[in-house]
Amino acid sequence: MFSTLYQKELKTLLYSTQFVISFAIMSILVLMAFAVGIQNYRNARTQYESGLAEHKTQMEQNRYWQMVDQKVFLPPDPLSVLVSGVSNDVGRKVSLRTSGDLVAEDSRYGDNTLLAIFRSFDLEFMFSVILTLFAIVFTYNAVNGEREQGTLSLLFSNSVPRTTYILAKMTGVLTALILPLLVVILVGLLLLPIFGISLNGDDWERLGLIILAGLLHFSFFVLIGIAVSAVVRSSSASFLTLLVFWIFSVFIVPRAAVLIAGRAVDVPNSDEITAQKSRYRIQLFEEDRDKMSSFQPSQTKDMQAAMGEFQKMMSGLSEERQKKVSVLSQKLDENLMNRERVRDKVASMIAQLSPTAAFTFTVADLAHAGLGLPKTFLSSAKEYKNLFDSFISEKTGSKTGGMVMIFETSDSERPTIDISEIPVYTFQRSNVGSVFSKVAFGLGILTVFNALAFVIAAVGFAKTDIR
Amino acid sequence: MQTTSPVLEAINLTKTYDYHVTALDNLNLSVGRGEIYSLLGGNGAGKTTTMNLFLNFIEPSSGKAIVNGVVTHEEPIKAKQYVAFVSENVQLYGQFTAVQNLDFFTRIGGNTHYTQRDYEQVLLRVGLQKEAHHRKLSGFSKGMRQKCGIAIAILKNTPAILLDEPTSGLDPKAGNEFSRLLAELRDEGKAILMSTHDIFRAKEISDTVGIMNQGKLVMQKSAEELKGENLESLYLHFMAGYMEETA
Ligand SMILES: Nc1ncnc2c1ncn2[C@@H]1O[C@H](COP(=O)(O)OP(=O)(O)OP(=O)(O)O)[C@@H](O)[C@H]1O
Ligand SMILES: [Mg+2]
Repeated sequence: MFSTLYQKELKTLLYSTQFVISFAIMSILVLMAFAVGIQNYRNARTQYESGLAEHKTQMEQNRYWQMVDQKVFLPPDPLSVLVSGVSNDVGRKVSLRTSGDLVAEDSRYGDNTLLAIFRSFDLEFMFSVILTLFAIVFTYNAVNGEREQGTLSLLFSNSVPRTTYILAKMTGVLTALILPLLVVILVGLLLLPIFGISLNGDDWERLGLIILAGLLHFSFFVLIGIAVSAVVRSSSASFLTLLVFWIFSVFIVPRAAVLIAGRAVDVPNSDEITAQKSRYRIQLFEEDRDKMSSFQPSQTKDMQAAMGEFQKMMSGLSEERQKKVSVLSQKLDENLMNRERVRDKVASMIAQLSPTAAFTFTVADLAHAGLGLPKTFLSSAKEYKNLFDSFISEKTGSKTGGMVMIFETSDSERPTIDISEIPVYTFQRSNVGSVFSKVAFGLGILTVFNALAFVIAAVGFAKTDIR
Repeated sequence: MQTTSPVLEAINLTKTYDYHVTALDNLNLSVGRGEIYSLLGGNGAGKTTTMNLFLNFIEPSSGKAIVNGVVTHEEPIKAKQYVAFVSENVQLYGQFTAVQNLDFFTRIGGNTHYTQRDYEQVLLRVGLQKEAHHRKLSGFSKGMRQKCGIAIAILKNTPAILLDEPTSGLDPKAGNEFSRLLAELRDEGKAILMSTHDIFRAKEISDTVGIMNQGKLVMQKSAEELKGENLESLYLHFMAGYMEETA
């Protein structure tokens, strides 16, 4: 019984020209997402490499370690081919030559405002927007269409349990949609190595989970389409219902979540914090001004020694100021981070009401492009800055940052430095185990949504009038 | 007339919809083995409602419909094993051919042993021309679909057959063939309950004729009793009563 019904579902879909045409269009779009992603990644890679090269040329012109303006760059990630997440909004360059906070600059959207308007056409967009719409188009009349057509009453004049029918409907439609889609995705994945994008084992694991999340998300919309078509009498009404549901789930709830979370949790503006820090710095400097102006060298004969004494006092004062500032800034940063964490948590909690938001969060985390990326990059830059600073102090015997005065006495004794001695910066990407709990949670939510749609379909159809 | 227990039986069968529309009012009828029972009645008289109750498409408000000893609303899945159904407008899957549709619906009906030849034979028997057997249903006329529906009912091979205005849409020749077919099925021992507006044919082939009016069975006569009677004037007589009531 089940297999007869299941085969019928497969055949009715596969024999229909409407289905074949829609599916062909969908496949082309999926492959296009891969192609666009590959192109974007290659561009990003070129940009990254030329940025590095240019930086190197600039560095080579330095003659003093004190003058070295070291920068670190965030390398593009091959997984951003499929899921760009926040990666386009994150500044990709951090200059280490500052006594204040590190700032990441030059985001891709900052460079290319056209991209910022249309956002990215990646696999995440494909799964969350395009495929879900197709899922609705394929299923909005799955059951009530059969009733309108009149085949349902002939079918149920036989000893067919309703649950068997709806189960066969769901599994049949899912098979007819997901298997071919999986083939298309595999072809897309095959394009990655063909076009020279090298992926390691961890990347493939992440990719597999991204595809799994995508398919779970897709199957939820397929199942909810069948559920609504089983509960709502007319197919035009079920299409409308599903369209409204789709708009809310895909667009409204995730955005509303961000808005509501922003309102609910008061997070200080980062500009405000920077201003607060610099005000404090200025205030401290004003306090020290008296000490500086009342400086009296212990003797006045040896100009060089007096100068040294002055510099020593200056650097002592500056060090003290720096300490005070860093205490405050640590406090402010911690406060900011805590509030941000609460806000993100609230947002993602509300967003879990929509499977699309759960999907988006999950795959962004999987693709190294989650909400944490900016912080991860900055803290890795900070860590490197410590290493770099101690390297420079070793070379020069003094701290980096602040003002440097260099007296050049004659052109003949120009020093040169070998910049290849500078420790190399590498951005260490975490392995998939580090996002395990987040991803498991996201996949769990998607599974729950699937089960929910399944139950709605089964329970809803058990009660409907099949005439 | 009946020596064994009836195959199809309605006992005090009543269906009231919301807002107190009584579609069927205390119906009692029975159809035995090898018997054709025709239900006549104007539009909205309750004929389709009766069929729907026998198929458990709707639940009775009171009373019961019984198929082969099984109360339909108590054990619908079991009851439906014993009954085949042809609706007034048979609808099949447009993407499938006639033979594919037959294959699907007979499998759903629990018969998996039929071969391609069986399907073709039964299609010929109901009068569907050979060239249409392997054509997609989407291009079929109403009469052709009706024939497929009858073929499916024959293949299901159940003790009871329900037919809701089966001849609507059949041309006169096909109608004649259909009457012959029904007679054959009766002779095989099937219990046949048919609703129809075709008074002439009803009188010709039925063993029992019932006339419904506003959900009530207002007349029931056996073929013998009808022999000397003019069924058409009887029918109009009962319909006139109906007209007066609504006027
Ligand atoms: N779902 C429903 N809700 C309310 N009333 C209904 C419903 N289905 C049928 N009815 C009412 O039940 C009554 C009997 O309808 P039924 O379809 O049984 O008539 P019928 O004898 O088959 O008529 P026809 O010859 O036109 O096919 C009608 O008054 C109809 O309006
Ligand atoms: Mg009717």
